[in-house]
Formats: sequence, structure tokens, C-alpha cells
Amino acid sequence: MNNYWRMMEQVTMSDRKKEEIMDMLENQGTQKRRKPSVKALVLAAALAVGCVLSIAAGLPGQVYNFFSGGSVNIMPAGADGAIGGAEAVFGSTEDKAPIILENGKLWFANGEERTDLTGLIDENTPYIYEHTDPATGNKGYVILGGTVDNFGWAEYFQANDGFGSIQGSNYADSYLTIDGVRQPSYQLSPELVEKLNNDPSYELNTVNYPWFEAAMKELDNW
Amino acid sequence: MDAEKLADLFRKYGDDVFRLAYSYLGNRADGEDVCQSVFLKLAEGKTVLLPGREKSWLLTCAANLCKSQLRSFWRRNVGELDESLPFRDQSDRELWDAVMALPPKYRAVIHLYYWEGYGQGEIGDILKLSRTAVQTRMARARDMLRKELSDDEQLLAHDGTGHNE
Repeated sequence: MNNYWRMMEQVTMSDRKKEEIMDMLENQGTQKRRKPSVKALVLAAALAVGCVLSIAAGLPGQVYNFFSGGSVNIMPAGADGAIGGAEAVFGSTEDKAPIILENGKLWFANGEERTDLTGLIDENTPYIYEHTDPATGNKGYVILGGTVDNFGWAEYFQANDGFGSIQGSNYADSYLTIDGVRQPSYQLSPELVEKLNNDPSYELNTVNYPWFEAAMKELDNW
Repeated sequence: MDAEKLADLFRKYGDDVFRLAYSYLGNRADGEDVCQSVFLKLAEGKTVLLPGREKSWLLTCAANLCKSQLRSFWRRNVGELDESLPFRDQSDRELWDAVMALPPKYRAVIHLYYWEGYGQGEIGDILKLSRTAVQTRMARARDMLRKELSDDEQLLAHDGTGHNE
């Protein structure tokens, strides 16, 4: 036996969760999964319009100045690995969008430079640009993808502890399912949040576009 | 798979699946949800578990879900405060804190080695890594732990056995 074993032996699932899972298994998975909280729902709504919220904290962390404007300060994880939080000032997704449509073509806008993305990106294929923050030396990734009819971008920074931050526009599709019918993007009113949390016929989904998923897999080295 | 068999598997391996997910994600609620999702997948009846390979499948499924969770929007941007674990000994607390300070990909390797007692090849199978990648992560994780722990023998006091054996 090792010391890790001795420590981990004390880590067990809560009785409440065990009972919940056992009930689920006895009913062969007919119970629904835990519903997302209002906070999660509100954040999902934010994703739909291409920006990201954060939770506040006051400790020094890893700072990354986004290529696309704004910055994030990710605090170190606390005891038990809980996220330490993040403070972010996200840039305008319009003014400094790194992908632009001009003359019927998509271009990567890097300052004054333009890179023709024709043939480099599509619905499933991303273009990834590694950006080193000149102020901190931290590296992030600008991800572009889609077609002239539906394109988007995201900029992703991951801190050493695995937590990260992302900003962008149209890299995921958020939709609402009401009474089994898929609805387009939406505005989350307080009344709708209430229904989402209490009415199982209202279901919120956020799905990354395939090009963004592909980029995250490529960047992922878990 | 019938409900009784599912319940048996959960009683036998539920905590192990949870421990891997908790150590990977660093958050109790997320670990419990991953554990639930693993058994939910099993309950869907689309998986045929080979005799003797049940635990391996469950841990592989858990590892995959953890990776997805770490990539997900919520995980990257939202966290919730975790309750403190009531460890019996202060050295356990220090070890836990040191392990949780590691990047998730290192925590998973450490857990599968020190708790499950898996070898590099088995860890590679579960995490979809080459043996070299497992070696590298293990070495880096140990280096980082040595720097963190006051008694650097704490974790390394390992006789080669684990929970799995």
C-alpha cells in the first residue's frame, strides 16, 4: 500500500449520489440527469452571442492578453482542485474579429496582414494560429472556421492548471427545445429561465461547431 | 444488461469510477456526475462488456467523459467551490492538495498508477496514450510533487501494488 492509496481510500462518493445512481440503475436509466443551474443556463446564453462570463476573485494568476482584444486573469486552483476563478475583460468581438469576409472570401486578419483562408477552412476544418502574448509570454490559440455562409472564430487560452478562458463569435450553436421542437437562438428572459429550470419540456443545448470541436481536439493533449 | 447486474457493477466499481473522475476533474460534483454518466451509458444497453474487462471499460469511459468535460465550455469557465475532504491525517491533506495542484492530465496518470496499480501499458490503454507519453507524464508529475511535498517520500513510498491488485 502507498500513501496515495491511504489518502484516496478516504475519498468516496456521497451517499446521496449513490442512492440516486442506484435508483437510476434499478429503473434502467429512465431518470433524467441533473438539470443545469440557472447560472449555467445564463452562461450558455452568453455563449450563444459569442462572449464569455467569468467569476471574480482577487488573487494573482496567469494573465493572457487576447489577440482579439481584452484579457483574462485565471486564478490558481484552490485546495481540492476547485477553480480559483477568473477575471476577464473581453474584447469587442466585432472590432477585432480575426476573421473577415471580403470580396466573397474569408480572410485571417492579423493586424494589417491578410491570409486568404480559401481551401484552408470549412465546416469541419479549422485554421489555428498560435499567439504569444507579448506582455506575459503566455500562449493562446486563435481558431477560425466555417464557410462564407456561416463562419466564426474563437480564441482560447488555457492556464497551467487546466482551466481556461475563451472568447469568440459563432463557434457554437445554442438552441432551445420547447415541447420537442428545436428553436433557433433566443433571448433568455427571467420567465424563460424559470421555465428552463422547472419545466422538463424546455431544454437548452449548446453544440460546438465541428470545426471548433476539431480544433479543440487538435490542441488538446490530455 | 439487467438492472441487478448493473447494480452489482456499481456497488463493485462505482467508487473507483468516481475516484478517477474526481482526481481527473478536481471537483466532487463533476466526479459524481461523470460516474453517473458512465453507468447511464452502460444502462443504455449499447455496450457489451467482456468478462474480466468490466472495470477497464468503466474507467476508460470515465476518462473519456472527463476529457470531454475538461474541453467543455462550462468546465473551462465555470467552477464551484468544493467542500473540504475530511482526511484523517494532515499528511493526507497535504498530499491531496499537492496532487490536485497538478494539471489534470498528470493527475489521471498518478491516480491510475498509485490507486489502481496499473502498469504503463494499461494506463496508456485507458487514457489513449502511448507508453512513452505515460512515462513522460508520470516523470513530470513526480517531479512536480517532489517540489510541493514537504516530505518528498510521501507519494513515492510505493511498493508497486495498488487497489487493483
